[in-house]
Amino acid sequence: MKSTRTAAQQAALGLWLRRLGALVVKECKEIVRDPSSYLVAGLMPALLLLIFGYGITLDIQTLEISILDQSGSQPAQQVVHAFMHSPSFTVVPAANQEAAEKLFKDARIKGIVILRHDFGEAVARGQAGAVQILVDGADANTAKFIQAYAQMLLARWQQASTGTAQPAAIEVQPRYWYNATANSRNYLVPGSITVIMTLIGTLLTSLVFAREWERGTMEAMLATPASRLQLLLGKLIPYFCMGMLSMLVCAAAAVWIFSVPFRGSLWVLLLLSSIFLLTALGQGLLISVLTRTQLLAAQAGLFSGFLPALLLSGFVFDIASMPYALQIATLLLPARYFNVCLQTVFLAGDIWSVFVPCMGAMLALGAALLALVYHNLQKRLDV
Amino acid sequence: MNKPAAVELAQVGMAFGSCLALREVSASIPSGCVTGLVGPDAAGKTTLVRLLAGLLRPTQGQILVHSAQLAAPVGAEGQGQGAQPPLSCTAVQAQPALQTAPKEPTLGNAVPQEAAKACAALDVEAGHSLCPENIVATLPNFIGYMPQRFGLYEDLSVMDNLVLHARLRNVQGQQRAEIFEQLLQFTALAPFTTRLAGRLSGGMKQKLGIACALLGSPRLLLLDEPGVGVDPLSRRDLWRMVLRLADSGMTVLWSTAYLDEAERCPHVIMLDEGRVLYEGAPAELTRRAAGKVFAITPASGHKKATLAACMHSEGVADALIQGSRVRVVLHQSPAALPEKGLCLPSVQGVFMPVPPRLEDAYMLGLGGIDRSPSPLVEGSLPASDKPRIEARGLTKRYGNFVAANDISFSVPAGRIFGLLGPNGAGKSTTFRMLCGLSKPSSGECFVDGVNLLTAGNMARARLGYMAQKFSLYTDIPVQENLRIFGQLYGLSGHKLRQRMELLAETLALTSYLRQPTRLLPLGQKQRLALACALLHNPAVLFLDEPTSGVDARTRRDFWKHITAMTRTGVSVLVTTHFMEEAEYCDSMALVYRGNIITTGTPDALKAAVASAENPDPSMEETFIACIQRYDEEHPQ
Amino acid sequence: MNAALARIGTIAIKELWVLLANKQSRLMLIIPPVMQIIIFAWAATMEVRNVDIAVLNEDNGYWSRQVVAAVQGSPTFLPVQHLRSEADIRPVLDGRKALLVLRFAHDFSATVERGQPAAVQVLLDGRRSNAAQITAQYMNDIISRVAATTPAGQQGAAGSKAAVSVRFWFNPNLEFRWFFLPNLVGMISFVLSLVITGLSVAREREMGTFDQLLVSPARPTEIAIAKLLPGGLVGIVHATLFLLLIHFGFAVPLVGSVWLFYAAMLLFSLAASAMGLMISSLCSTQQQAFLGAFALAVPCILISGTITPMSNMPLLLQWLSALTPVSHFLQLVQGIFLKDISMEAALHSAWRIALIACVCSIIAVRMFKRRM
Repeated sequence: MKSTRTAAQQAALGLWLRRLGALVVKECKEIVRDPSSYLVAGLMPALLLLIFGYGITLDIQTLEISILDQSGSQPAQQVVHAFMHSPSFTVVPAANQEAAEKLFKDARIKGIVILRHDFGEAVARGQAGAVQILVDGADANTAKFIQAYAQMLLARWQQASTGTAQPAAIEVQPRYWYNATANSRNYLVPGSITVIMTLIGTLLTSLVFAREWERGTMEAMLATPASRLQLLLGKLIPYFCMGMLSMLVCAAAAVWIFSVPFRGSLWVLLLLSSIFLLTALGQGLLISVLTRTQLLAAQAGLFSGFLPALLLSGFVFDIASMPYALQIATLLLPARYFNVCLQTVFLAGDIWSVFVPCMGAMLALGAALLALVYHNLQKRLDV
Repeated sequence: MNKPAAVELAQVGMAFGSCLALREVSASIPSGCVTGLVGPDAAGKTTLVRLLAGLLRPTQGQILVHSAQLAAPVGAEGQGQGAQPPLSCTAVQAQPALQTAPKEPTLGNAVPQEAAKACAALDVEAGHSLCPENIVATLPNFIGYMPQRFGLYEDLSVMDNLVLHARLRNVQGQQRAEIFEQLLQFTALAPFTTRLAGRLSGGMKQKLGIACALLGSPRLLLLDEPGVGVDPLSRRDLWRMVLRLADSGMTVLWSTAYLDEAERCPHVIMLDEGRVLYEGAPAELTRRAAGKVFAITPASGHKKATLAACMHSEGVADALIQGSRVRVVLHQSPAALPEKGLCLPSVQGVFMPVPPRLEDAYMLGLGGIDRSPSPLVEGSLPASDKPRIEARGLTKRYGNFVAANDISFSVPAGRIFGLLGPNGAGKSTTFRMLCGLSKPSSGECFVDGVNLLTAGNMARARLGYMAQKFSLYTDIPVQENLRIFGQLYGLSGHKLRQRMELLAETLALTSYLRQPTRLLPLGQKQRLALACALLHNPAVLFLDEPTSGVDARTRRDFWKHITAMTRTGVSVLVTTHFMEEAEYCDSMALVYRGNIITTGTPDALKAAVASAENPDPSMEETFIACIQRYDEEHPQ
Repeated sequence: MNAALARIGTIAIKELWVLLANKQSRLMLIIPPVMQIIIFAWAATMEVRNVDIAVLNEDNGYWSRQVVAAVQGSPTFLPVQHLRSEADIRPVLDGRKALLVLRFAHDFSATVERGQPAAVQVLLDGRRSNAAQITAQYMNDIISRVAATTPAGQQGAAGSKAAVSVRFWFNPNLEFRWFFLPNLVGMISFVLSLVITGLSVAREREMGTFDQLLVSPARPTEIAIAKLLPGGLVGIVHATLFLLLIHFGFAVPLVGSVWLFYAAMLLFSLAASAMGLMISSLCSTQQQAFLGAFALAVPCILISGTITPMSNMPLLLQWLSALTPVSHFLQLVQGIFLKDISMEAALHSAWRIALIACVCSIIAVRMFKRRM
């Protein structure tokens, strides 16, 4: 008696799995035949990786400035020379102050260094104001770097010329753990994986149910024996695999192309990514079941998925520095947790004290989202 | 009706918000035959089909599916049984829908709640009657459903679509191979298994849609408007398929706006505005029109004038052109066989009684056509000997594929020219070249004497265009649609207002002017699309399947206006799948495999295929015969 | 000619009707841009605040306490966490409980007292390299201020940095927001104009109304021009909206001409619309158009210096960036808001934007005609 029951159960399970398999295969075939999936899952990640890996760097490299030497004295010449040979600056020639200011206003140069006509004497006397630096403050970051570099350059020149190389009273010895050169690529590239997985998880899936509604295939599916759970998993599994594949490709590119260190272990990366992907997919599918038109779904996906993952996840802007209300709001953002985990697993290693709370938060968000999807995915048209 | 009811609807009501889609619908669907579900658009057909598929839950009343009455199709025994528990094993609970049945039984309600409960109790005892939702849950393969747009995955191949549905319905292994073979043979899709579903023609999509719905051998097959946008050849194939299924014991519900389809069903349910107008055998309804239908052979030989005269005469319920004759339906059967002009004083011609059709009875039931004359006869275009539309050797190639080959014809002023042909035959390509939407690879076309290729701008200003989907800006008010199209054709100020008022009045749109266009029923959308095409008094009118999915009464009205306009000198080019429309054409061309295979007046075409056993073929038979003959003469 | 203008006018008015007819799309034009400006302007800061800091003070003498007190007094840092031993450092940094750890060796105060150079170790979490670098800079400033009060510091104070005076033009307090908000304007208007125009053609294709336009006397060029106008108009409306928000809401100065700002917004929105039109001329469904617009917009925005300055990018990307209207618009709008840009420089950017708009429109019209 018992054995027949288990046999019946097994048969039922087998049937259930076969139905699910049919849906998964269907979805995969659709993905393969849809050009937009290549665009979002292939081209976009490649572009983003390239831009974040090669293009964008938060480290300042060279800056255009002009130098106005009003004194023409020998020490001034030395200073000009020092600026011209500095790797941080590119000196744009300017005939006079007017010309320089015009360059400045038109954003051709970021700063003007003015060596006043009494430069030589002033330096000799240690007077203030012999060197004036006008910095384009529009971009505050760059401005600070210019200030710091210029001051350093002058200080070094002064030390060299007077021979009074005096060590600072308290020397600050900064040491960057996990990222010794403080190379911003090391944190931008793992961060861009968050954005890429959000793209696949949220933006691409936000369209899937809406598309079926618009094309009328959803109605046909609802009339089949496929259950809600099967319909849901039928969407979830293929996109999950796609997201994981894309993550692995990105991680490989990060390590082998962009030489980002990978200090954690692969299985931890896989675990973290799958949890994050579930939340991202939950978000995308929720948008998808709630909207029913592609246009609306796409916009919702963009505004609730992509932009927050880019700007509010701590990827570009530091969360701790945001206003308090916004910090609270980011607690609902799965990308925020994943970002932290990725930076840690790449640069620091398997640090469970970081992962566990993050995973807990992501799991809670993911479970809530998927539960909402399941609740909103009805097998009837009138609810 | 001697067959037992397979599905019973008792006082079914369905409300979407405040909109009542169905009101107190009581009807039954007999088992083992095809039941036609007919009615104009917005009658509630789709809602009813969805209710039966378990996709909606009725807000009132109940639907019972008597599973015991639904026989397994003959020859399909043993198929798709793997997943199904035997019927007797199904634990059946009393339906909660019953308890929540009509909360406020209105006075005069035919089925009081008590009776409904008693009846339900009986069913529960019998153990075989369930509401559709539970049928779907417990007997998943019981109901096969094809939604309106066939519900196919267009990016997947024919085989992929079939496999998906087979797996979902647990049809596999040897059994699957057998059923696939049967279905592919049945639907004639075998040569196309690797083609993407999106690339199939309308008729083939439909067959595939049905094939998918047939997997798992359902006992009840629901088809929602399978005939829309499909050529007569495919429709005939489809009908044969469904008939064979019904003969094997399957219960089929076929929803349609076309009465000629419904007429062939042994049982019809006719809906209008959510209510049942008639239920029973179509012949019974048709009998109501007996003795009221006549064919008039016009005395003067001009059938369009006769048609117009009929349509304006007192006592006429319906009038339409049929070959060289005009068919009229009178409200009252005349006391004696009407002699020349006896009961219709303004009509000159020989009256001959003809057997009634379902459509005649339907028109009588709806109260007949609108008899007011069309005001569009006013004004006239400058007479011209030149053809209004002329195609010279139009050819369109896509790579190696020739979609249209050397198409030439001309349409004189005031004539209606029909372009007919099966789906994917090159008809649309030709049509698109003629109205300037597609550049021909070679050849020329002229509209009102102006070359469309060299002076497209001027030529386009003379044509009016009405697309298949009634292309309108749906979010904006009706009058803005009119204004935009008027201004686009250079109308403005007083003249524009005048035209807008005239057309709105003529086409009964005045009360809708400020409404958003998307809220209009299909029939009104069609009239608005026509109004937009007519604002600038075009010399040539291009109509692309102008009445697809629209019910008979709206169609009559539409053609009344079109024929009225041709009297002012307007020429009309029309593509259609609908053979009744072909009858309105003065001449037509049959396009097949990219070529015009025959051209001439409808009567000439009919005469060409008339034979001893069929001396008076219908337009549809003519169409099919022409194509079959061409296939025989030019094997691929 | 008049007839052509009338037709362009008609189609443009129709576009506006369609755009504004339903509530959903009306709201879409107003709510998301405003929300984004507010949220992202809030979020956008390159300053670092609320920094978690830990101190391992093995010295506990006067000078190390002096430094800790200075750190404590700075608004940048949260209250200091004190560590007991070297072993505590790793968990604190690993677990992200502190962004940096200050470590004083046991002889720190003694060395300072002796007037010898003393070292303080600053261990930073390189995972957040950006925040870490900025914090290191702050720390440098704080410590050098303390250093100036030490015996050795007082001795050598005279010479070193006194000779330099720095003035920050355009943004004297170096507010990052002043830089980022005008960029955000460019970003948001770009995406919106691109999507609005890009989807409008695809939607008309799906509805069949595009054929209806093509069979009318209107020429493809006229249709294209008319399709651009609503994008431009939306740009003007947004210009007003953004001006109010940025100037009055977030107190970013507007030193240049308001009219120049409007003109720039109009031109830029037209260019973005032209790019949208180009995308939609290649797509047949709304989904393709949306994803196409998205795939174009994101890289355009990222490489045009919205978030980071363009000068940091490799040369190739800088060239590519010059092909997007966004980078030129950013130059222009930064100039207008903060710098009172000269007419000559404004035109320099403007004609490039106009050129991009023209090229995209021409490609779009070509594609419309080719598909017929």
